[in-house]
Amino acid sequence: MSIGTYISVTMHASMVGWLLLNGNFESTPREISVTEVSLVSAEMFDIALNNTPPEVEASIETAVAQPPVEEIAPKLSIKPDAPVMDREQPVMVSPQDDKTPPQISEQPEPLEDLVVILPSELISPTVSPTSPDVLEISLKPKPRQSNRITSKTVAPSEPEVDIGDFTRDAVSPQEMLSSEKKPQTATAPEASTSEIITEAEKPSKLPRVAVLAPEQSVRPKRRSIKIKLDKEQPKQTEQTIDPLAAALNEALTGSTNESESEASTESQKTVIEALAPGTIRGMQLAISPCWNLGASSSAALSTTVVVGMELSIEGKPLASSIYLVGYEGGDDASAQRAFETAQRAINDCGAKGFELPADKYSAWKKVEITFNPERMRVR
Amino acid sequence: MRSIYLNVAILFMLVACSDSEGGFGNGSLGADGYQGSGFGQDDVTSSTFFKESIGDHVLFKVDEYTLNEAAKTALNVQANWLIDNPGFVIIIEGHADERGTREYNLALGFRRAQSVQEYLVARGVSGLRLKTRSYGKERPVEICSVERCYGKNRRAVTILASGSS
Amino acid sequence: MKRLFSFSFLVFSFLAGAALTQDGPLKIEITDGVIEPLSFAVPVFEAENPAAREIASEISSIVVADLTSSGLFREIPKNRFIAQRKTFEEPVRFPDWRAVNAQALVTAAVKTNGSGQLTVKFRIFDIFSGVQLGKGTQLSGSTGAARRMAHQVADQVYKRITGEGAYFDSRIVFVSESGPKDKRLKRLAIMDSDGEKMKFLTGNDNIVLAPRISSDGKKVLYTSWETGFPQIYLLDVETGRRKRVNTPGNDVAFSPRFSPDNKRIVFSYERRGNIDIYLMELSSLRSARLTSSPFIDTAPSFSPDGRKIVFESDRSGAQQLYTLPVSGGTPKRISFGNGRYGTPVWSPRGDLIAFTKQSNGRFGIGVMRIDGTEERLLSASFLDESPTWSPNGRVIMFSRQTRGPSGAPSIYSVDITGRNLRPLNLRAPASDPSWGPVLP
Repeated sequence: MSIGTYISVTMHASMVGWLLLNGNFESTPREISVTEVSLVSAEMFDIALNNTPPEVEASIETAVAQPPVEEIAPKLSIKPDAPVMDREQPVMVSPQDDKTPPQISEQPEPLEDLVVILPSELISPTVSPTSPDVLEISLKPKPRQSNRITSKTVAPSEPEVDIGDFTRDAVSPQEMLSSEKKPQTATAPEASTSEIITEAEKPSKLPRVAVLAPEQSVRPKRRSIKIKLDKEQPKQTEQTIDPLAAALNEALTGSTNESESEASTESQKTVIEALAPGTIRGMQLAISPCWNLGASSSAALSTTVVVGMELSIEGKPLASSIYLVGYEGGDDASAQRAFETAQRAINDCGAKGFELPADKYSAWKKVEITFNPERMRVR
Repeated sequence: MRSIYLNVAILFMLVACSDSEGGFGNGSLGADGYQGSGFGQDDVTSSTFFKESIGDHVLFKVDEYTLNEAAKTALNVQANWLIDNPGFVIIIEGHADERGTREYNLALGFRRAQSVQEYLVARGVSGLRLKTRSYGKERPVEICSVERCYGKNRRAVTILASGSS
Repeated sequence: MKRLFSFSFLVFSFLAGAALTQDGPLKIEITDGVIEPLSFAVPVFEAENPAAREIASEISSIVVADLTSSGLFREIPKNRFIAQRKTFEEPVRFPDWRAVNAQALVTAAVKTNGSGQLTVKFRIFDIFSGVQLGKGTQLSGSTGAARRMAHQVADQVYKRITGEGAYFDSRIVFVSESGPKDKRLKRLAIMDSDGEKMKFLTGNDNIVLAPRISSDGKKVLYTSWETGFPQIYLLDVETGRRKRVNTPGNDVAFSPRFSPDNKRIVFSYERRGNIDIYLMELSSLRSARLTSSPFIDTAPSFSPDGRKIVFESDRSGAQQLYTLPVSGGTPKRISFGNGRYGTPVWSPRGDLIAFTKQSNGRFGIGVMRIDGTEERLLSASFLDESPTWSPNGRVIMFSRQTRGPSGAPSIYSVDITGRNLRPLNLRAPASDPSWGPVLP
């Protein structure tokens, strides 16, 4: 271990220690909005449960990317006492007025108020250290994850479930190392077809695609998307994550032994990397059955779209956060259609939440999925 | 003298009959649906006679429009009669079997008719009397869908129309 | 103290940096999906006045039939619905539609008035995303236009969801056949894209072949034996009036096609057994020879930009496909597979050429790129031929003839992916379809 790493570790450790002592890591009381159940019809309750977004304005057709959505529903709903009280029944706005082609504005009213605050909105985006279990996680990709074909059959609705699933085996560093190798090589062939990045990257390597999306205009840009990313990433991430994880580990277990922290560093390395391929594969298998290209135009079948979104802590996509990051092939129109097809896949198979470890929430809170129909085109 | 000539011609035809292709036809109809009434032995100059005794068509191989030996033999006979009976305008009508696309078969029928026309002209029939047309696969004589029928449909028919040449 | 502070500051920023890196989005690639028709629900269209009930039901059936016939959509039967919609304006209960697995919902209301006016308004919803797609739309016209309005609704739904162009609101010219196989009676006819509202355009006194409708849907070119010899005729769809197109020397001509701007035609011209392709300006009747070979050159088709034609020729020994600039040049062969290629038709999208392929005693409809690559067969049978493209270039219609003495032709369609091969249910034998444009 280099001197730089050592310094980094020490500084992180001291920082975290300081924060801990200050009590910054205690969980804050969550603000939960209360929906007046008696005033909400069954259908609306379902909507709230399924996290269906409010109907967006008619302009959805022209607004291709939806980053502005961030200004609409989710933020609005952060005010807990806002619309819920006012709108108790589905209200028809100007139902009698229009004699001309109907506008969408009549529709949204009943549903707007139902995007209730999601607990995830209020969680700070750092790794939750509430449970030490976080750090001692089984290295084997969960067979459950890899075998799952459809998400419909699995519905972990609470974060606790996820955490509890991970065993607390104390695995020796050596074992960890060797099993680290296995998942890596085993999934390598898979990874060759679907380029996977582990959860974190160095700041300099943040994909331009993700950063651009919120800043750009809503129109998708026709540009070549860097979908293939260097495999070096995992190695580089080791240096940045591990110290943090190692520091956490140290802090929580109270160990300051250098060699032990080194071992923990290694274990953190293996934990994060081993987790990714299985989890990611699970998500791919979960979404694929819902990605239906049967009603796509020939042009859309030649268009690859990258879709960004946020997930709640339960692994459910926030429908209003789904947006088109960019596309390749085709044109604006085909990209929009391909985006909608992808959106359906996400909303359908994601309705019950994807299987993702809650303790790694910050790693998968934001997701970007590339939908590449090349293999699905008529051969 | 003429009858001897005729008998020889008939003998030729009977010989040619043994060759299944390009030979004698049993008075098959041209597409204009001309019906002969009886053998017309009495009038060797009639179109009926031509159709039923001389033979008015030749057959072709699949996708081909060249004349084989049997066809040539039959056309020799036709040519002689036509020269001897100059009062007729002649339409050579090409056909094809159903095993081809519609417009191509129309063209093929024309090529077959053309082959016959050229041959007759070479045998001395005045080109001014000859016209070609094609019905492609629209007017088969046999309607089954096997070679036995197809072979009969791939034909060029020599049709006589009375009138000045 | 100062030291600790700055030390912590450094640590903090380092940590912040690390936290930032952890916030980069998780990236996943999906390359496998499914290909299934998209499930849609069409609740009973609201009849805004009692008299509109029947027409509302008819329109609703046509919309469902059109979408289903495309092969890209599958209807959720009404008896499975959970939500029972009574009115057009009531809100959509998305979970109810989700529960019956409808991915799309089309709601509509129909109104008639005493003076034969008909109004249809409709909305399209994406159930999984829980949103309305686009704006609601209203169509109005006379009750006589009910079928057309239904096709237009179907077109809007189809376009909005798939992204393909419209094609339901269009008509097809074809040859209606009757009589025994050796004495077929043929006459030109026109029908809606779903086979309804058939109307004859000619009598059956003469053989007619291979009609081609103009790009504005107003005229038809075809070959007829009216004079006893194949000649080209031009027919006005509206009036039924026809006239012969005089070719050089009044010689035989057949296989005529319009240019995309309908100002010129290409056709096969026969002279002394030579069959070549000619180009003619309709206004002046001036013609130019495009091919001159001792071989058969026929069945030409214009590219959508009007600059090239594709045609079949047996100059290589068997029928193959060739492209040729209309301005002149050397024909370029584009078909190289094992078999014979004929009846090429250039897609309205310009990217593909459909054709009839014969090989091993079978006939099939296929498509290939305009350079001849990526050849694919979409159908095969005893006798498939005469493909024609839908206006959006997505569907191909063709003739299929059965074998034997009682063999008769019928019209089939197939999706460009090769899926959804299906017959058009007509009441009489039909062949040689030519698909007209989406009606204005």
